[in-house]
Amino acid sequence: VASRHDDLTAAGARVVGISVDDPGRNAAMVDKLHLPFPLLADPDGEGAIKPYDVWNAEEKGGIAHPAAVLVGPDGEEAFRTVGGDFADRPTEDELLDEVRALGLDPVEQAAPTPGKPQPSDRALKVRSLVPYFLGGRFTAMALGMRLPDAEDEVARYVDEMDRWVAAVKALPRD
Amino acid sequence: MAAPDLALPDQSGATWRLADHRGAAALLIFYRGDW
Repeated sequence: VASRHDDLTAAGARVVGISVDDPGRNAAMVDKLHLPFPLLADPDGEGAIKPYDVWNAEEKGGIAHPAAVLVGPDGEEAFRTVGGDFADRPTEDELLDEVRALGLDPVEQAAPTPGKPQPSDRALKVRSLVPYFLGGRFTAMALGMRLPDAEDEVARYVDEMDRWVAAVKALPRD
Repeated sequence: MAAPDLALPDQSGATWRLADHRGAAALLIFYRGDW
């Protein structure tokens, strides 16, 4: 949708993203992805996700179903699609067609105001990769015992995993 | 069907209101979140 933002505003629609993420997370997303539209925070779903009937209570204590809702200039709901993947180009084209069908004048949408980005608690720490390298090293050694012909390759792989572990351990703690 | 009004904080903490955008269309993209 971000890549089609110019087409959408030219067709008369402003775009907002809505999820349970808090403003700090959304600020990080806007910053990281250079999004041309704002992201709104609806942590408990009461502000929009539930009123628009796209609440998925089954996952993670409640999140939004992926959905797009087009609200016309009169405040009436003009179109909705629920459950799609908005990375899909056909869905983006479909949304654009729906906006164009409203026959509106172009609109401006100012770039979103930056916030204070807060990285996710779930962001992967580099140090957490060490067990994966060690797992790869162990697997290569175990396979090497069954594949004598692959001795050189196994040795190279084990060396490489050792170098990665050393490299990660040499980094400052994050 | 009338779309429910909504007023939610954006990434900078400023409130975004659907009612402020009458006269233009608004495309609301609901997504799962980056958890």
